[in-house]
This record gives sequence, structure tokens and C-alpha cells, in this order.
Amino acid sequence: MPMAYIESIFDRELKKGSAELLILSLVEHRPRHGYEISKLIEERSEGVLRFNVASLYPLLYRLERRGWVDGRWVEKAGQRRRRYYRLTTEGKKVLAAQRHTWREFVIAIERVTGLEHA
Amino acid sequence: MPDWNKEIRSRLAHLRLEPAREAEIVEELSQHLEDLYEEKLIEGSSEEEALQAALGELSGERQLANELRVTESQVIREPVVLGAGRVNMIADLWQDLLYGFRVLLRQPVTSIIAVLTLALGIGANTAIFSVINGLLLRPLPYPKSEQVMKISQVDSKGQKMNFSDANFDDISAGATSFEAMAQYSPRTFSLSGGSEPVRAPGATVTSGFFKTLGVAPIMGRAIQPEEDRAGSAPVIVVSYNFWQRYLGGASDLSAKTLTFYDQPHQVIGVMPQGFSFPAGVEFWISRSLSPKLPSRTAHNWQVIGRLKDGASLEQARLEATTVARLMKREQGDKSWMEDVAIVPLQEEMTARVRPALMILMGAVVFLLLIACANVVNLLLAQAAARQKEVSVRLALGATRGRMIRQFLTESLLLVFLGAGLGLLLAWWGIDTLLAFEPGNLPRTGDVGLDYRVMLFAGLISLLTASLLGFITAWRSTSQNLNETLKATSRSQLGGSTGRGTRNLLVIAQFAMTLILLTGAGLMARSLISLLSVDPGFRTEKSVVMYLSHTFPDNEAARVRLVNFHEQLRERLRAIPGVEDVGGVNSFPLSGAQNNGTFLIMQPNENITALSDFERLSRDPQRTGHADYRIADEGYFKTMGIPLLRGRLFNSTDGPDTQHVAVISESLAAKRWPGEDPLGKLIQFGNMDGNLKLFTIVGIVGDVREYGLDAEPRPTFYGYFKQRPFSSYSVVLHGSADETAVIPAARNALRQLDANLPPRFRTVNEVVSASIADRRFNLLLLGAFAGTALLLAVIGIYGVTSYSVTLRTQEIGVRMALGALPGNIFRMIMLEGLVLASLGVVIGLIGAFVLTRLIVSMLFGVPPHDPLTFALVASLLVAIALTACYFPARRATKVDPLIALRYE
Repeated sequence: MPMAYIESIFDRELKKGSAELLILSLVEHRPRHGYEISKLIEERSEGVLRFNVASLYPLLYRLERRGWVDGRWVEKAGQRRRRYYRLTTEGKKVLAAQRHTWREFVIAIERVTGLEHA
Repeated sequence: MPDWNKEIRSRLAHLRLEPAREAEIVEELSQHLEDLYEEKLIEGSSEEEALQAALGELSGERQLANELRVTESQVIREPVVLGAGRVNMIADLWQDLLYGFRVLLRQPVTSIIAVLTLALGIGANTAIFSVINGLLLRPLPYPKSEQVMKISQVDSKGQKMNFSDANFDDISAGATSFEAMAQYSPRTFSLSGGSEPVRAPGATVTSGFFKTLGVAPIMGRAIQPEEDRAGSAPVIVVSYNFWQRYLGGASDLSAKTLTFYDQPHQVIGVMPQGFSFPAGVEFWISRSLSPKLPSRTAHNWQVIGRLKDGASLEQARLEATTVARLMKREQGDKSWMEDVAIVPLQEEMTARVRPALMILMGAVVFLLLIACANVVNLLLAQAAARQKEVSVRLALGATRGRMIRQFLTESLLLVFLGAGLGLLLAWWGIDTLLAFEPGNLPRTGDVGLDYRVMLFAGLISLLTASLLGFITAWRSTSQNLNETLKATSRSQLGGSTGRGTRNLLVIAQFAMTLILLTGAGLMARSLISLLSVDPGFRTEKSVVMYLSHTFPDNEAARVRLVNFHEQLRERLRAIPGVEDVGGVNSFPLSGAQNNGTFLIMQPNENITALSDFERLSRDPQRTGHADYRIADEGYFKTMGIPLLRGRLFNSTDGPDTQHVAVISESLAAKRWPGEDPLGKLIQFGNMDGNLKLFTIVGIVGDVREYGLDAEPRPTFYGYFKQRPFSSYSVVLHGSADETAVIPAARNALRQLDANLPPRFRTVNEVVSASIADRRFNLLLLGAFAGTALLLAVIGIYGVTSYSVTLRTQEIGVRMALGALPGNIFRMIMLEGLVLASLGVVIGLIGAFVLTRLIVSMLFGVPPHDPLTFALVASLLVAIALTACYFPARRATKVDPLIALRYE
């Protein structure tokens, strides 16, 4: 099996597994709109992680449907209205749980692979 | 700036999202692309590069669609277009039902009328069917009841008659297909020994009776073969009700005896609850007091038989016919039995009512069709109003099949409601029907709502719903889309073809109504001509008292009986307002009567034994046939039967003088045409065993004894004092009112014999009861025809009225162009007249064909009676014109100015 292919799968699955955590974290303290969320992920990961429209929005809608985030149209003077996503109470619990799981997962990976923070 | 909305929308189109939701998503995503695009430009990219970057965001469009399909699937709702192609049947059905309800509620008056109309049609059908079901379809309440047959002798003219003992013995010995056979003879008895004396119907039966029916007593035992013998100890089996009422439900029968014919009968058994055969009979006695008669022409016994398992009816018939033919060859004129008729008991019991029931069923089917036509008309009018809605939905992609389904669901809903109400109506109707029923229907206890009736109601409802739905749906979805959408005026809606359908329905309604009315009319005329028939006796201010005594089998008993009636007559005559009192053994129009063959004897000639009677009766020259009555001297005067020649019975006639007889006009004319019957000597001893000759002393008027619709039969009257008879009815006539006479007469009888239970009827009641069947049938058919007429009137009114509304503009134009109100009025009336007349003409043809079916129910009026046809036809046309009058008047009031601006 070519290496590139394995990498691409690995990459995709990793992204998938972490995507919810990333979005929930970003709207934890203040509501943000979709473009802002995608920008922040790209910037803070220094370009390693990137979601395009086709993958970001369905994810947002799914989180919204589950009641973890709450999307709302907000109008500001002189601007077009935008949809802002806010973390719900339910979402906060999920975020805490996911953070915990992810931390344990990372630690477990480190122990197994011998990877250490530099 | 690129049109992001368009780009995104095109990628989402196939998802068929709910429009509002789709708009939201498009807005949000296009903002994202917009932001990205502008940022790229600010960063210094060219427009082309920025565009590519933005569109690149949508590159995983498959993914976008797939993800959205998953996340949005829970909220996918019905597209705005109700009825566009979809696959979820249940959801559709539910939606159709809800929508249907809304449609019904939108026009509550129309819906209520439609539901009521359907309820009427379905209710009437269910009620009549439940009677048919109870009488004709439900098996008799006996095990393997299809094996139980009614068996009759058939004479050379093909007439069925009762069996004589000797003939029965030969047939039952020869017919091997039968497991059991029994004789029975019902009559009314006066019994004492129970809690009170009672006059009740009972039957003398042979031992095979209960075995043939397959029913055993719940207590005690049945009649045994040795108890068939004359002289054996008389025994009686009683019905459950009789046991409860007169024997106090006693568990020990051994001490219970019931006395009649002066003979105590030991009670030996109690039959299960509900067992009553022949209908109404309350007890069954052994024939120990009815010795076997050797005569083959004493036709006293009805016969039933049970086929062996596996034996076919054809086989049994063939066998019995063979035996009968052989016997006929052997016996010659001694026996009148040429053949034997074997008919399933159920068929025999219901044969009399079957034709009337079938006619009524046909009538209610017509009624339902007329009701359907009205509802279709209502729905079509509604559909015309909904034409725009339908067209819009069709244009937006609803399939025609889907629209038809919507209409079907709606009519199903209507019919469902109508059927529910109809069942209630039927339930109530059956009770009313049976309450009005004159007591001539057999098995009324079996009439009710059972699963068969429910099934029937369900089936006709379903048929009705499909009929309604398809006609409406077809009519309202077959319009040209473009035309309808373009049409702005109501005058163009509903189209000429829609009106065609509605006109056809009205014509059909009128045709069917005419047929029903003609049937009812013919029956009404029959009843009128029947009521105008002279029964041959007086009916006003007359009361009859039915009595039955112990059979006077010795001289002392005969004297006692004669004296008893002498005294009774005295007491009755003493009642104020009673002028005449007379008696007869069998009152006219009251059921079973005696008749037989008599011998004409020469002076100084007589016979000494009944066997001589049979020998002489082979010579047709000296025999005659007549109804046999016993009357007293007061009978003819009390009844108003005129003496035509000779004299009546009088005080010179005593037990020891020459026995005298009076004959009816028709007997004189039939047996002695052109001769004087007075002074003729008659031997009629086969009726009561007394061989003394009668001398004919008088001729009286004819009496219709067997019904107003039956020709008077030749009748022979003997004198009570000379030939006393056990059953005796006493008639009272005078100036007093019947209601005052009855209690006084009851009192007079009680003083004489407290143990003799009488039954009273006014003579008017007797006559009235004899035509109750006809009146009942007329009542029903009349009610159905009346309802049909009402529906037809509503129908033609609706159609005309609607047509005036549709043509308001046209009428306005006509009036603007100079048409006078009179012209408009005539135009609308003419339209109604044409519809009604077409219906009437078609109806007349139908009636001409169908009234032949009710010939047996008519009297004194031919089935194609021109007067009835003409009357009904003109009545219908007149009513149609009245119904059209109001819309026509409305049309003349149209203001041209307003009409032209109309919509």
C-alpha cells in the first residue's frame, strides 16, 4: 500500500475525530460565525488543519441539530446579517468530556509511541 | 461580483430541501465565500484567483450534499406542492386525511348534507339487508339445518297440500334418503293446570319431530314412538318460556299435568330457550288423542324430514316421486297425491316474504344510487370551486394519480362518516321496522346487526366511496390546465363538460325516482282497490270473540256445548247496545279453515260407514267441494250476510230433526248451475264423523273468507245446534262502541266459565290485519320513494341553482342586449324541464319493464296502469318545475351592470 494513501486516510480520520472538539472549543467563550471559525482553525493550527465550506458547515449543522451549539442570525448596523454559533449548556458538558477523552488519548499515544513534547 | 447564491443553489438542488431551510443555508455559505473572496482580493490576488479560491471551497460538493442529506434528513418536509411525486404512502394518506377533514370543515353545510344523504342511503340498505340476512341468509337455528326439509303432497294440478296419515306412512316407509320424518299440526288450544288458564298455540306432533329438527329437551325427555299410538297416555313437551311462565320453572315435572280436551297431559320435557317451531308454538303434544285416519284425503298433517348425511336433495326428490307415482297407480282416486314436493325448510318458511323483500332491496339500492348522485353533484360543485387549487397543484408537479387519491380519500372520509351514521340509522330502523311489522314475517328474532350485515355495510360503503371519488376526481382533474389557470371568471370554471355530468346525474335520479314512485303508486292503488272490496260481511261496530272448547266426542258433551253457547248468547245479548249475537266455527280472514269433498245423496239413500263415503266419492257426478262451516241462527244477521233464497236456521231445527244447511251463492252457482239446490241432500260426515244427511234450506251471500284479494270460495254452513264444533267464534253487533262491548263480553263469559280464555278483536281489526302485509310493504316502499323524491328535488334544485350562478354574466349580457326577465325565466325553467322530462321518459321505460316484478303484490290494478304512470310522471315534472322556479326567479333579478362586473 503506497505510503501517501495511508497518510491521507490517517489524516482524514484524525481530522474527523478532532473536528468536533476544535469547533466546540472555538465557540466556548464567545459566539463566532462560520468563516471566523474556519479562519481561526487554519491560523491557530498554522495551516496544518483546514476545513473548507463543504466539510465545515455540515459539521456545524450536525452539532446544532444535536443541541451542542446554537446558531443565530445577528444583524449589525451597516453589515449583512451573519449566523453566529454559541456553545449551549449541553455543548459545554460535551466539550469537557471530549477534552478529557482527547487528553487521555494523547497521553496514551505518547506513552505507547514514546513521543514527548520537545 | 460572482453570484454565489446561484453556485450554491445549483449544488443543492437535487437535495430538495425545505425551501426556507435551503435559503438559510445558501445565504450562510455564500457569505462565507464572499468573505473569502474579498480577503483574497485584499491580500492581492487577482479576481480570477480569488474566484478560484472561493469555488475551491465547494470542491467537495459531493461531500457537502451527502453531509447535508444526512443532517437535514430529519427535517425534510412535504414540499409546498401537495401531491408532487413522493413515495411515503402512510404519510401521504395521513396528510390526505387531514387535508380531507379541512376540506370538509371548510364547507360544513355541504358536508353535513352529503353525510346525511349517504347515511340515509347506507342506513336504508343496511336495515333491509339485515332483514334479508336474518330471514333468508342465516341458517335456521338447528344443527345441520340445511338437511331439514318441508315435505308436501302435490295434487294433479300441481298444488301443494298437507299429508293424510296413510299417504305419510307410505312415503316415510319408501323414502330411504331421510334419517327422520315427522307429522305435525299446529292449532290453538285452551289449557288449564298451569298458573292460569291460557289460550295458546301448540302443535300435535309425532315422535320423530324433535329428532328431525335435531333439538333435544333441556329437561326431561322427548315424545317416544310408542306414544304416537292412539290411546297411549297423553304427554306434552313445553317451551322454555311456557315452562317459566305457567309452570314456575319447576325442576320436578312428574307432578305437572296440563289439561285440554278434558284430558290431563303429563308434562315430560322442556325445550331449550328460543326453540319454537312452527313459529310461535309453545308446546308439543303427542297424538294419542288424534287416532290415525285411514282416509287418504284427510289432509291434516304438515310434514318435515331430515336428510341422511350425504343424501342429496335430488336423490330424495327422485325417490319420493317414484314412491308417489307407484302409490297413485295402486290407490287411484282414493288418493290425490300425484307427486311429492321436497323443499328446504328455510326456503319454505320464507317463500311468502321473499318477493317483497327482494323488491324492497331493489328499492333501497335505487335509493342509495340516488343519494350517491346527489353527493357527487355536491362534490362536483365543490370541485368546481376548487378547480384553481387543483390546477395549481397539477402545475406545480402533483401527478394526476396523486390528485385522484386525494379525492378518493376525501370521499372515503365522507362515506365513512355517512356509514357510521347510517349504521346507527339502520340499528334504529330495524327496531322501527319490526315494531311496524304486522307479525307476518317469520324469524324476526333473527333480524339484527351481525357480522354479515356489517360486512355488507362496509362493502356498499366502499363501493359508494370509490364511485364518488372516481367520478369527482376524474371530472375535476381532466380539465385543461392552461385553460383553467387562464380563466379568471367563475363563469368559465366548472366548464360545460362538468355541467354535462351533473345534468346526466339529475336525469338518472329522476328516472330512478320515477320507477320507485310508480311501484309505490301501484301498490297504493292496490290497497285502495282492496279497501273498496266488499268482504261480504259487515265490519262496523262488530266484535269477534274467539273461543276454543274441548272437542265434543260424546252426546253429553255435545249437549253441554250447545247449552253453554245458548246461555252465552243470552248474556251477550243483554249487554246494552248489543243487538245481534251469532257464532261460527271459523271466523273469516282469521287463518286456517276447513274444506272438503261432500256427496250429493238421493232421497232415502244414506251410508253407514266412512268407507262407503270413499267408495261413492269416486263418482264425480255426485261429489262437490266446499269450505265447511258451522254457524248458528244469529250469525248471518249479525254479520250482515244477506239471505238470497230459502230460509236460515231457526227454532224448528233441533238436534233430532232433519239436519239443515245453508250454502253460499257461489257454491250454488258452481255445483248446481241452472238448478235449484234447495232441498238437495248432502253427506258431509267426513268433516266431523256424523253421518246424518244435511238438507239445503237456504242460499246466502258470498263471503271473502281467505282475504280481500281472494275470490270467495263456495261455502257450506251446517247448524251449530245439530253439529256442535269445538272452536267457536262469537260475533257481536249493535249500536254500542266496540271498546265498551269487549269488557262487558269478557265479564259475561267469566260468569259462565272462568276457565275459558277468550281473545277479542274488532271485526275492523280483523279486516285490517288481513291486509297488514300490503300496508307494511306500501309503507316501506312509499317511504323509500318519498325519500328518493326529496333527494331528486334537492338534486335538480342544486343543479339549476348552480347553473344560474355560473351563468350570471351570460344572463347579464342577455339582459343588457334586451332580453326580458320573462325570457330569462323561461330559459332557466326550460332547462330544468328538459332534464326532468328526459329523466321521466327514461324512468317510464324502466318502470314499464320493472313493474312486472311486483305483479304478485298488486290487486285490481295492472302493472302498466296508465293512470298511475301518468300521475307519477306529471307529479314528478310538476315538482321539478317547482324546484327550478326559485333559481329561475333569481335569474330574472340579475342586474346587468353588476353581472357584467361580476368577478
